[in-house]
Amino acid sequence: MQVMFNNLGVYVRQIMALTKKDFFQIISSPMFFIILGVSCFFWSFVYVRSLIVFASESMAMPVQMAQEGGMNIHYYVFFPLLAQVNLLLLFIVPALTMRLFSEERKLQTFDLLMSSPLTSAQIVIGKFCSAYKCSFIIISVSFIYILITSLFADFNWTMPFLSYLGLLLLTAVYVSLGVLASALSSSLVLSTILGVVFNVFIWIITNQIKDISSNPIFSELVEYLNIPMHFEQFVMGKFVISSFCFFIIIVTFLIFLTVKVIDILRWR
Amino acid sequence: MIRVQNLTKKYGDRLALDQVSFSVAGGEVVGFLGPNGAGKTTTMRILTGCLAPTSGTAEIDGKDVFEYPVQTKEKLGYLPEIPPLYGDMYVEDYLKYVGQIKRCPARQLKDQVDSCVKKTGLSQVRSRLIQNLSKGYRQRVGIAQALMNNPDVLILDEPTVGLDPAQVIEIRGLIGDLKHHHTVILSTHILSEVEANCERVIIIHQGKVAVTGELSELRQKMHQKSLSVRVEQPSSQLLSQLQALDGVKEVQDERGIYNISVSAEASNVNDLVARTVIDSGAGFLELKENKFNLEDIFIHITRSQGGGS
Repeated sequence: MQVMFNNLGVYVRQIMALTKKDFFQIISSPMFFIILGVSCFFWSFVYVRSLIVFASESMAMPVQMAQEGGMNIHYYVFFPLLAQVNLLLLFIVPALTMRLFSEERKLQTFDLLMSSPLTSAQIVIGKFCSAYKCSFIIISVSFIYILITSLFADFNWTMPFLSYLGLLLLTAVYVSLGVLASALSSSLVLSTILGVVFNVFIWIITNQIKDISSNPIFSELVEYLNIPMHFEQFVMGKFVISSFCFFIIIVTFLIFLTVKVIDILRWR
Repeated sequence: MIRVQNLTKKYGDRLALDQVSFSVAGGEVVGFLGPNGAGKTTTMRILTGCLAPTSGTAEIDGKDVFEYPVQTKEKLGYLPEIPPLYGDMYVEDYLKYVGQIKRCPARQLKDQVDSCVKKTGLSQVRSRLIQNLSKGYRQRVGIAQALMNNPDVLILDEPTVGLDPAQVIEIRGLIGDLKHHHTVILSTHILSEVEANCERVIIIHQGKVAVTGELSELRQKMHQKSLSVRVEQPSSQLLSQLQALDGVKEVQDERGIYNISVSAEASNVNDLVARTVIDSGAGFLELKENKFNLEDIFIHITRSQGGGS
């Protein structure tokens, strides 16, 4: 038992070392700060605009409606902000993940990982965690707008919290797709494009293919694989355990797929 | 310590390695020689688990590299042809990172970094960014990373390529220091490097092992000796006199320098040649015995087996 825990400790320590190295490499690059700056610019614009619309419509609201609880700030202010954060993440995450494997292969530092006592799973998990930590920082910055709103407005925290939980789960899917795209190519540009294509594909296509077949089993399956639908559950303030599990399964599957890609690289 | 059996690697239709077999005993320093494209790097990459063979096995300490990847890699230090360095990391941070991924115990990590820095002469640059280091120092960092897990087996793939002569001497000295503590495979096409550091050579050519053996043994196998005599006034008479001597196989005249091939059995040819030249009055300037070096062996083998790549 002691040996098993020691081995597990070593296993985790190796992953943490990989994560730490890649995390600091990403956040110390100028690109990360440019991404953060541009994102803040867009989010600030959307936030202020939504807030103005919300304030003006609240003022114009009939007295009776105001007495019944008024307009929900979540749908008027936070929802457009979340949509904007999600839209930018579709493009930001591939830019963060592009160098994880592509650059290692390009600079031929990948041999260091391959000749070290690491499993392919450790390498992939380590790289996934580093990119996820960076994405978490970006999402956390967007949460500042919610915190600022709380200074001058009272609202129920459940919906924003669950929305951000959904966003974090969705981002895990984006990151795992980005890591997979990076493992598929040694070109930084190609892996970024692939990552964006994958993200856009899962966002748009899963929403569209349900109408292809009239088979009820197929429709049900496609319905379950509909990522935007699962995300919407969280945005609506519902914690649906099947949606939570869905995201975890998808991320695990994509990590497994990337591990297989890395194994294939040894055989080429 | 290392056993390679019938290793074959195909890249599509191209056969890079064809049934390569060799073994290296513990503590040995072996030179892995071959012209460019002979299959040296492919063999190194298979041995280190970076590449899978099409068929055949590679074992380190009795364990197959692909069946027991973690256990075998714990005993392995590898310096690829291009050192795997991250330019945006500091030397010390990089070595710590390598130590962590190579399972160096947390308590010993700092001591291990200090030890590797000292062994490879990086003390002055340990707090500098890798991208700002000279090529020689980068190569040293590459060797230091290979030593971070204190490996039993050290595989160095062309460690002096692209370095200036002073740096080559430094790195060669460093390898010389390492050979007492590790089993070393030194892949190179620079023959003087092997002559300086290795006890045994494996010559690989066109994906096959051409020759393997002790360096001294190989020299004996070739058992050829030659003399060069330089004279002031060369003449055809002297040429025929030299050709007539016992033990002389062939004489070539190259503008006052006679290159004489001597049969292996002949014992006092040097004396005979010197006397003949002095007695002829041609003006004896120099007599030199040419030893057969590794370069000659290498060229002889690669030519006799169908030319270099």
